[in-house]
Amino acid sequence: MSESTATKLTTATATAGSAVLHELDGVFDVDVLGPGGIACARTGRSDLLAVARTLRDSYGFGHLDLLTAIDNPPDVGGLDMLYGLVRRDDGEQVMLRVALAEDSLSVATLSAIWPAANPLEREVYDLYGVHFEGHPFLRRLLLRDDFDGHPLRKSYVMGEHGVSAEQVTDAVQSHGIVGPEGDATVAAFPFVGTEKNGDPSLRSQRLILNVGPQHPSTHGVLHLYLVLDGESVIAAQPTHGYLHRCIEKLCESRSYKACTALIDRCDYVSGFHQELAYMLALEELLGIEPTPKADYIRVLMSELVRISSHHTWFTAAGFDTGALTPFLYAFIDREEILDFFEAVTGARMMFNYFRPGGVKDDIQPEAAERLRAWLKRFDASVDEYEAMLTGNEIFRARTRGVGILTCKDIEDWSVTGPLARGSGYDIDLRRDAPYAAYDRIPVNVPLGTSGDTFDRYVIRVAEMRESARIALAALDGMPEGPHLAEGVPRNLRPPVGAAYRKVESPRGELGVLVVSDGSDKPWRLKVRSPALSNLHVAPYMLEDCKVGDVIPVVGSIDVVMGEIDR
Amino acid sequence: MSILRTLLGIVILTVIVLVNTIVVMWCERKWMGHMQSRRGPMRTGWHGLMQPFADALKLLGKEDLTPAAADRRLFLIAPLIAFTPSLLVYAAMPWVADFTGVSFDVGIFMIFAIAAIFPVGMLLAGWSSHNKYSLIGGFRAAAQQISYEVPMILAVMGVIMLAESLQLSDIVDSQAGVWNVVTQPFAFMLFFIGMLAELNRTPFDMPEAESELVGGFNTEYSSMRFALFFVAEYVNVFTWSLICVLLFFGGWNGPLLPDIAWLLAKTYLIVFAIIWVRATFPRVRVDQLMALGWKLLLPAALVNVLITAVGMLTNVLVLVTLEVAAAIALFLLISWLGEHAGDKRRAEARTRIALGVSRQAAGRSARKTRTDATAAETEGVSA
Repeated sequence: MSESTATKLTTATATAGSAVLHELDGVFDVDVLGPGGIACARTGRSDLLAVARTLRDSYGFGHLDLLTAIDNPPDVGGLDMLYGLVRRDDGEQVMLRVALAEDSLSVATLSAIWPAANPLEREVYDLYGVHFEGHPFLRRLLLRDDFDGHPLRKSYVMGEHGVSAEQVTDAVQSHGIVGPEGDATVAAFPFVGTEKNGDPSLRSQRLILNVGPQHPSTHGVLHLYLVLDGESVIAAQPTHGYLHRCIEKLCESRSYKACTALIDRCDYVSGFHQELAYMLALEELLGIEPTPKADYIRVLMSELVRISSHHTWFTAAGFDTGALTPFLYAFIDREEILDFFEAVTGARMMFNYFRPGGVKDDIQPEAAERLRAWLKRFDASVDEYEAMLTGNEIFRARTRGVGILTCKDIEDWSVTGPLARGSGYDIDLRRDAPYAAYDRIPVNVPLGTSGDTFDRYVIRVAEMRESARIALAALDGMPEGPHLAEGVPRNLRPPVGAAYRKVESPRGELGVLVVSDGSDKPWRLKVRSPALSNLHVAPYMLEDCKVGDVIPVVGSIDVVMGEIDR
Repeated sequence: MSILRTLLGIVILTVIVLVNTIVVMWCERKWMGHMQSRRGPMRTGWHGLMQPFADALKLLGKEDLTPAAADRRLFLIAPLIAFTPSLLVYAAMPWVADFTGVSFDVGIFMIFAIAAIFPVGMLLAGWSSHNKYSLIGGFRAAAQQISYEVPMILAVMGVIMLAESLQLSDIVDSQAGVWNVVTQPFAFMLFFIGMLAELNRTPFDMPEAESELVGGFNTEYSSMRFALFFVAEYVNVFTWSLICVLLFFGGWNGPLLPDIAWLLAKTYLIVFAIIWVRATFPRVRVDQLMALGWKLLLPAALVNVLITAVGMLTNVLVLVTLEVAAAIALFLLISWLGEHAGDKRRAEARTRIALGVSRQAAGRSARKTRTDATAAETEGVSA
């Protein structure tokens, strides 16, 4: 493959376009990316900011959904920056593409237009070495600061780069957020917290507190850098990357089928959603239709795993505020779901169950019956959970009016999922852009009003009930027939192209971008992590908060570090 | 001879207290377990009865670490300062009528005074560990104990007024007819809340809030030094339950059974209540804790003194009526405050986000109209 990957992508696939294509055609240099027909506007490096502004202000593409790069083969050099924009009014999406030559891997930052670009650009800088001009805090996001090279470049040779023993020692010595330059690094931190917290006349010496990554309740290996004034939070900054397992890089050297097992491991709490997004994208590339039964099984599994993921969040919500008992009540029910997964897929956590064209195995009738009985009494279980927290005066005092997220922050930071719905922001892909069998099963979307921790709690509890209802509907409405489409080749070689599909995971909109160069391995596989975008809005939610609020508020984002760090 | 007698007394008292502490530890694990639909320890001994011993042995076998940056002398001394007063209070504690360490005239104040040393140990531990979590934990402990000792002592004032004595045995004797919990329910309520705070138990386990502060003031402690804090806390649970029984539940008074059986039965009922609270409630935030202590409990305790005085000037019926009314009022007030916590900020937030929500809703309905129009169009075409 000697020409530029992205050029080849578009020339190879000029099929159906969407409505937005007609809307933008003539204004921008628009073509179609992939068989799914993603409208893709090409722009030069110098025009990027202007084009992005126009798309946001005149065309209403208010959300920056995806920001990544697709590398070209080393002999061509350079890469393509890809910006996915979404218009929330009608769910239309458009991609912006900027080709960068090898000798000038730099482009203007979009973080002034969409703050959400801030962490995503850091990730591209980290993995591709693209320099973003004017970025407020261009620092590696996932890898260590002293890491040598940019591993997602195709020219990166494994083993040649890497870290020497001396570098490791240096890293250990300069461990922590305060680098060798000491306070200079701290000063460079984009403190977003406000100074208005607390009475200025009572202000005391600042205390810098590193919460995590080994803190017992930061939900994995999250590291929060807090600046405190007494018990008040002045500023906060999340740092992550401790669980980076190079899943995207590893996928580039695995066959398409083998990637399923890796994708599973991104979000170990809700693996089915990762698998589903990947399968949808892969099926789009291959032009395969899953069987109707498989669609229903996929919905069933997605909803069950959503319940089990919300169970994990629920236990954490209890622990975060100091209530110990809800944990065990929720885990009794979670066990039932995991037993069902084990019966059907053979695994409780890393399923590797969805296949192009369907699912690996059918559901045994006994397991289905057992599940049906459990789903029917699940509402009573949720009543029991609620009895422990919802009406509890202390829990209400801890969560109501705490950690408020506004609609502006949601739009700026591309927040999705229950976090956005808690603030009354009405988005849910299951209803807005149905995939699998969701077009045949109605989905009710619970919405909050105040956007505080308590509303997010209420939303998720309601979602648990709703998920159980959907799962039951999927189980009851499941058609007869094969669970796997016939004629799917053993060795998958999708035609050259790209596909980007999103699903509604328990944490928000999870997207998978698959770029094929016609070989049996993906040229690029990108996971759009909802929790990453959601996490970086945390400093705004922590405005006016006390130390004791930090963990409940961050917990209400429901972060899963595996998915954020990949 | 008298020295020997004193020493023997100390040994016997210590053994009794420590045995009860072990039982409290076991009760906590089993009762918590059953409340959380699990069994608790089952492997060591009959229903895990030997678990506290196994824990103690394990802690003894661990390495005693002192952080390099710690203030060494204070770090080593802090667990002792925390542990000693927990046993020392028994010097003034009457068990049954004729089994008392030293019968002080000011017994109850003696106990409060000694118990007040415990937070000093926590503060020292937090300070000397040279760890930010420990430091915050230690400060919280000190602030909490000061805030809650005042309303607690003021609540006990009512009991003292009724007994007209500070001596614990007199207070118990005064309850031979009616227990103080009947004549002083309001005071009991305040005392129980204050007691939970004094014990650093849920919902006031701020100094060791594990979800915020890792381990709190004792984060850096290991081995026997950690065990000292740990044991001290459980001794305190037993101690304060005992004091609560002496002050409000008629002490060793009771029919048929021997005095000591009544005393222990009542004490373990209070222990059960404390564990029950732990299994049920989340933790309050530190500023809420302060607000509750100073703005609510302190004035309430003063009101209790007033009610008691009025009751003593009139009759018992008036006293009980006023006390019950005050207790119900406080309960309703706390419930109302909890129910409506954050209402103001939520209303503010609602207006702040309403604009965005309505804008988004408008976009959605516009989209729906568009889709409907398209659907109609397609239908027309197919027709």
